[in-house]
Amino acid sequence: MKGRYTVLVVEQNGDYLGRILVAFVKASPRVCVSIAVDEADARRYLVAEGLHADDDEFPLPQLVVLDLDNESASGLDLLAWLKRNPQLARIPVLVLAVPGCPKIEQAFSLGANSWLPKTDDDKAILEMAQAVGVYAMLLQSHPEKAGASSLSAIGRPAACNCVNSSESSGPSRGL
Amino acid sequence: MSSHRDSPDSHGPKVHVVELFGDNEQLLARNVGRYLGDGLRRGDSLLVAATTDHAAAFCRQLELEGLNAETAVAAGRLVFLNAEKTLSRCMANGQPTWERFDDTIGTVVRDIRAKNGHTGLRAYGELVGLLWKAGDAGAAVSLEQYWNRLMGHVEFSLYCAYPIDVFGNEFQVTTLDGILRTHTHLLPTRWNGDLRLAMSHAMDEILGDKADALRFLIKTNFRAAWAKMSDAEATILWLRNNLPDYSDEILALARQHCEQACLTSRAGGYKQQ
Repeated sequence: MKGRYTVLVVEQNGDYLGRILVAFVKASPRVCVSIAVDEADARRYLVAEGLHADDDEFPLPQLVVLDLDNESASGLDLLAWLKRNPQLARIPVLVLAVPGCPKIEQAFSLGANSWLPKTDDDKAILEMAQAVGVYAMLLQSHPEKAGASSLSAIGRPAACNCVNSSESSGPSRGL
Repeated sequence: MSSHRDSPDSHGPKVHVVELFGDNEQLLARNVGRYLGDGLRRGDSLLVAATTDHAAAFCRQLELEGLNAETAVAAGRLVFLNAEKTLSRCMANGQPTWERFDDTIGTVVRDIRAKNGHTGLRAYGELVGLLWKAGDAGAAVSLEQYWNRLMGHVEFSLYCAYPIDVFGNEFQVTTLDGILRTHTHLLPTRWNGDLRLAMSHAMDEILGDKADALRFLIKTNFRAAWAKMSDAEATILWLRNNLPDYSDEILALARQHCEQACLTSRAGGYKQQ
């Protein structure tokens, strides 16, 4: 995985997810996009649980792109959980939402790092994917500080410490 | 973060601006002096809660602008409050309280407005800056909230100042969130045109062709709850918050560029931003 960067995209809408994936392939070929289809799936990924237990296949992401544009509040719940967790809190979270969405301000209050305007314009999605890819690269690859503070050195939290009991039946690892 | 799009020097009622002047006392005196001078020329009354040294510097700036502070004081158009003494009167058990604030400052504000009911009032306060300097950011934010509460009852504009360096470690989201939430505008830092250019050059020099992609992320970050601010300050906050491994070297380089620009151009002051 050397020279590649992982971005976890949390997106419930299959169509929109497809457009994001195409944009990353075109604009940021060195980015491995991991997918979580909802909050619970994202939690399992981040604690390397169940299907996501293989660290090589599902590495800790450099950053998370979280779509807030859904009916439930689960995106904000995931953000709050992640920022409360000392081993995950340093992972930047970029929230995806339409301009004016009230959840944006809530997300900032919960510790979101940036807001990405959600759009139907494929050109803008491509631009966003390029920017996110570059940002992920910079997070991982400071020429002098790599290893000292890179996210890969953080390690993952134990599943039993940070997910609901119903979700934490699998073994924890990667500590 | 809100990007500054409208003029920061519109000091109309309900406008609550903040200036971060670092250690540049000369800049503070010039900007506040101009704010006060503009007010006097418009027929506004002025309330200045400042340290003795700063009050003297503001008076000198008014004189440079052809205005006489003593005359304004004698006419009841300019009221000075000693910042340290006023602050101590606002405090109880080490924290400001609304009751004490309202008794101390609210009373003066209402008196001035009653005497000059049909003109505006411009206030300048650095009690918050004193609290910040003493390491009590929480108390400073409480005091800002009291000012806003008072502005909800009485119409006036307010100018606050903090000795914070925008290139320094204090200037970051976690530290400044409360201050940015309690103001309407963050005044652009001294050499703002230069600051924007300096930041842009520093990002290009450190990040190379990756800088453009980051600008996409930076420009979309509007925080409705924050004071409006210029692109340069917004960029610094974004870098501090999101790219800490690079922010120190980018900001050190940008500071160098700004200082070099300052040597060749003495441009500055809030009117020129």
